[in-house]
Amino acid sequence: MTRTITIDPVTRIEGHAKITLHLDGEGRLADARFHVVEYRGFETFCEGRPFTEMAGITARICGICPVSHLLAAAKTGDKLLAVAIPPAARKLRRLLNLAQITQSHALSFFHLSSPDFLLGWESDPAKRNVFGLMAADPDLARAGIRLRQFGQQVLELLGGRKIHSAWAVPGGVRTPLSAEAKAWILERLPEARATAALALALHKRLLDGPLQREQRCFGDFPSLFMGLVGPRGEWECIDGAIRFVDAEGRLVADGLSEDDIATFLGEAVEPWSYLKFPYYRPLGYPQGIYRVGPLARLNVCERIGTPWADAELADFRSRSATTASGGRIVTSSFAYHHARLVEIVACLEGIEALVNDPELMEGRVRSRAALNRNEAVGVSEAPRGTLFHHYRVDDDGLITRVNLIIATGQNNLAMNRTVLQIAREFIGEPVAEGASIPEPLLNRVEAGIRCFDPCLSCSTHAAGQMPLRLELLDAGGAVLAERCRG
Amino acid sequence: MRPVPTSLVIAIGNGLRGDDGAAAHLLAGLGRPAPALRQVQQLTPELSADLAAVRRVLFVDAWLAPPATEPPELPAERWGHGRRRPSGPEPLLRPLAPLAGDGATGWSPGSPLGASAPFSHQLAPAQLLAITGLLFGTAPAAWELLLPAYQLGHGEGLSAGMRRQLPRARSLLRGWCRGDALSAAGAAAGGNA
Repeated sequence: MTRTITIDPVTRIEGHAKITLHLDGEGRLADARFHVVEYRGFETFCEGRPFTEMAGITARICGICPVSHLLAAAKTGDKLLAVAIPPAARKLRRLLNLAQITQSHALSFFHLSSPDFLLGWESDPAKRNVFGLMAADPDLARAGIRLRQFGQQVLELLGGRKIHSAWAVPGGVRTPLSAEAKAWILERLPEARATAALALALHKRLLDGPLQREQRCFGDFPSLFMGLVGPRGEWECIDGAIRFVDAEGRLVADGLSEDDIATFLGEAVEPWSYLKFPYYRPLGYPQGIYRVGPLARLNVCERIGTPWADAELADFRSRSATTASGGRIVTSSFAYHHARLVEIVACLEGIEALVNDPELMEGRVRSRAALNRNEAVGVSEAPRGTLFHHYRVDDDGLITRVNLIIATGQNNLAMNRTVLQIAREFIGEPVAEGASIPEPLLNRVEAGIRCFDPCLSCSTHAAGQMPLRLELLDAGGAVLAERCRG
Repeated sequence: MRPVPTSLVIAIGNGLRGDDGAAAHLLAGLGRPAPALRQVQQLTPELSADLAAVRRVLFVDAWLAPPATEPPELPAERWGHGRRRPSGPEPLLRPLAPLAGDGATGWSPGSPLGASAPFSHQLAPAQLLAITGLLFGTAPAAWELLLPAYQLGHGEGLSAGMRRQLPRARSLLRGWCRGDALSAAGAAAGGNA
């Protein structure tokens, strides 16, 4: 008789989901499924809208990473117009994305994930959150809050608001950076850098100590990694070309254009989740499993290109990269957390370089043209990974088809595999019928998902404490056992 | 050098959900003297850094008002210009205290704050005040201006019922701001930007 363990909802992620662990007849873990149970249908209701509205519409997909959709939509619009955007606009968009990655990574590390690391996996779930962190270490919590505030404030200085700005448009951006905004950014950068250094030192201490087991078993498996890289293979967040590497560090594909996405990416669907399952098409489904996001971006790049970030990248690889890859590729999904901190450093150095670049403040910021193409694909690196927007429009510029390939979807296969690996590590097999499964073990399974910082088109409105429910179901769906948190 | 504001007004709500966007609508029509303004869809911990930097804060928010009801615990006015007690749903300005809890900070993980807000995206004003005190050692004097909402469905624009309340709400908001101007004048000439 097969049984199913359900964790519903998964907490401290952006959106609503549940996890089921499927036991075989002998009580051994046979499969893990990360179910995304919300449906929003943006692709469908964008149809019929002018492509010029897509940046504003798709930014509404999420309150956490609207900038990512804004930039991908604007880049897709550039290609429909067939224009080259002004140099200042290109740099301003990059500045926006660096700030977005900073604030999103700060949220992930300080608000969502560090409570597990700092308060302990076995601590009271009611206190194991950012508010518990505030009580336990107010200095760290305050620093994290101010780091996220820094990123958000840069977004507001550029776009006029922290979220759902319509500042980036097809052809460029609406407004340049003001001198006052530049001065504010430069004034706050030293504090942001100090916080990044604090978080890195803390996380490395934890990696050297209590988190070694998690580093080893939280989704450590071979897969492909995909991300944008610059012309010399450097870390990239908005421009560049697409690169795939494998777990041994071999270049699988390089210099790919988003225009050819259909040749290298496929999308599978499963009946139990609204989240699609993208895969590397040449290897087929599900063998074409790949990962995107901070870990992937650090794995695909040769270097970051700024001094502190490059030093942190070298340290990241020396700590965690596999021997099989010659110390080049990190395969543990737990390393997403460390990778985010390295990327915060990259972003802060990038922001500093950009605001000191005279070209950022000069010249036009928008190219204007009429519709010149009927189909385009735009790409950008969102905090959680590579984001594609694919539009088809009629001759009036009205959308006839939209396909959005989001980062969280691209990590879908990897998240499922991560959950299964953690469950096998922490839940003793065989699972006896009616056996009690301690909450800290369930939290680790959830934490495996949190490594990827999944964003499920954030519509979360937490009212009261989110319960954690465990159900043990037989093959017919009858509940054999149940456990509730909170 | 930009003067440091002494007061902050935070408009809470979603402009795409009918009357929920009333707070932002109200701020858009605010003349001088104007305090620092923030427009947010929900309160997040990051706002504590903004709160720690000011002496007074006003949260403006819509609340779903059943007909002929009032928000509970109607308070007395604090700044002297009297107003009648509401007889039905209408804008309400009232002082606000940090969420009570144990310890000098007003909050601990075992307090109601910890039990009611384990996630990071949505806080009540009293919770945000408590967090501000916890993290920064100080929290501003706080008020909330509640606007009775009648329609919170999808779409921009305010209901007729909400629009009828706007003059009163605007008057309350300006009164609060005038109080800000007076206190700022005492603290530092011209420092109320």
